[in-house]
Amino acid sequence: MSDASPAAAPGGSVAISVKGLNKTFPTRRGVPDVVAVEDVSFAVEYGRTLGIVGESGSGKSTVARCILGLTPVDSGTVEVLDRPIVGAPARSLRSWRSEMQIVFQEPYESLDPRYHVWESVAEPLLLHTDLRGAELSGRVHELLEQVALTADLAGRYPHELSGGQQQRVNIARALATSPRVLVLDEPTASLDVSVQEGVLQLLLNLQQELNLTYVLISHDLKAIRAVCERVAVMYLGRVVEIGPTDEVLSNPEHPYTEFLIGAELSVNPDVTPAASVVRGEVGAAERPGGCVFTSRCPLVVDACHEEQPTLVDATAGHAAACVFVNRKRPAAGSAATA
Amino acid sequence: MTLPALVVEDLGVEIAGRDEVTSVLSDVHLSLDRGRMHGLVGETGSGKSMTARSIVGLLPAGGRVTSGSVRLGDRQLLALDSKEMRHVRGASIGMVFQNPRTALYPMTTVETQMANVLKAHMELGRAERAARIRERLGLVGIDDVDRIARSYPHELSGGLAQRAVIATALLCDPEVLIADEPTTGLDATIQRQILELIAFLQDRLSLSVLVITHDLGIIAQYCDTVSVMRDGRVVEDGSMRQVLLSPGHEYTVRLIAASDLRELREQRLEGSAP
Repeated sequence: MSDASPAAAPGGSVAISVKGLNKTFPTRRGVPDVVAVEDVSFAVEYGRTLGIVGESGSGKSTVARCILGLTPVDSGTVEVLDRPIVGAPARSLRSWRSEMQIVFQEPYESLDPRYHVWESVAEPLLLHTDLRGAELSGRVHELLEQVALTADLAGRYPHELSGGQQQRVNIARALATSPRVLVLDEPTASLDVSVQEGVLQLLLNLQQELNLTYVLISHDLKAIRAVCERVAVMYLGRVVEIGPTDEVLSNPEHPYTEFLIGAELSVNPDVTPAASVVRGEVGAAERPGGCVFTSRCPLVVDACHEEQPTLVDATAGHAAACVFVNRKRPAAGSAATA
Repeated sequence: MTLPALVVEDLGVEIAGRDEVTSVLSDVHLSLDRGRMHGLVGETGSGKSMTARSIVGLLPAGGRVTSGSVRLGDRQLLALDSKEMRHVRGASIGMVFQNPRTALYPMTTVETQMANVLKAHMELGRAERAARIRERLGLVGIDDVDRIARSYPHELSGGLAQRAVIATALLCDPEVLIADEPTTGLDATIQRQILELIAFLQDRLSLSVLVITHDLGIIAQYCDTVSVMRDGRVVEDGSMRQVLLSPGHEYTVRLIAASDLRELREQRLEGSAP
């Protein structure tokens, strides 16, 4: 994709820039490689949040790992805070990592069970800073306060904490080295709804306080709506739609985005979900030719089987990869699924 | 009025640990009307799954019912011995659990495990069994019935595996289907397919369905009645519309607000205004 990519964030200076990212994973002999990420481009401005939404196998977590250089890429470029991540030597990545951190989905598995809270939060400080003794202690307590954990929890082990408290410890660890970029990979997926709200609220507050740039990976449109200014929708390794969250989720241009929104179940019984339910399910191994969504799309025309459409602007900053962007769709009902 | 399909009254359950006995359910009550879907909603530790396990007599080790009754139609389930209870689970109550891949036995094909269920609970010849298995797989929306019947669980996608689990639960024409988090862990579009399937089967087979979930969206879109559980008790119950549109308990109010994260979104929109 060219530099004038429709996926670029408008205005502002860019904290994260991903261009033409490709990543395949080899499989056993005789079976085609799994295409995890294909031609993915986007940019995130300083202090903003990009949401990446998609189902399993969409490549969203692989993108998250590629942003931080945790997974080598096949081709494409990634720049975080003006540093080229792709091709950077491991030593550079290690020293840059204090500025770019990640929070994972499983709060308990992310913590060392032998470390109590104080040790867990102190660990990154010991690795990346010269803080020791009273200064170290002071910083640990400051971090615990920032994530709203009371000091009496400092001596607890992970198994003695609730899921929400564990995730707060992970966030404190991620913040320890004063990063400017945080990648959040399904940070609340395993938490109860009331706890999820608290953790997302905390992330929003921290972002304002510390001017953090976020990439939030999630399968949950409600969380995306609550936190992200912009959203990228991924399907089988490709970004199929990207733009301002409220614009994309109220005026979706890609049929897959429509189905994702339609699958959402409102807690208001008077807001009924879309009547049509997308058929089938696709594993990354059975990649159709042409547009990646052809095997499930109700709108398919011949052109869809010929080549993968690229992202085309529907409105400024809102692009989708579908042949029907800015064109009339076939008559409603003629191809709709029941 | 006809008898409800399933009634739980005043149910109390405790679990004996190494040092102490913990009460996990107290005074739990619910009523599932015939041909309807009742939702049991709550967060981790609320006792919703424990309630389901008490109903089907599958309490964890150390678990003991201390009070109450569970009636399936006019049968008192708590009075049954383990052999009778096994028959209830196979033939009268179908069960669907959260993780379809672990609910299926990994070492045999879908057809073999379905045939084993039929052998245990119904007197059918080999050909009749094969026909019934295929009929049920077709009923749950599987197109390629023969191929799926010959498949091992690991060869199935999450959605197909859950369909096979549902087909197995329905083999002996149960009156009641208990679905414990039937779509947790499935992708959004697949979740929707499975819920639509359960609603279709409920209608088609006049099933009474008890669905256990943490997701108020499932309650709002699929259930007729609901019980909200917290800390081993039912804090509120009633018709779905009454509970969700005019909740009486403060906890239900909070749960609804937290579920759609609307406040956070409004806060973000205000904050981002230039």
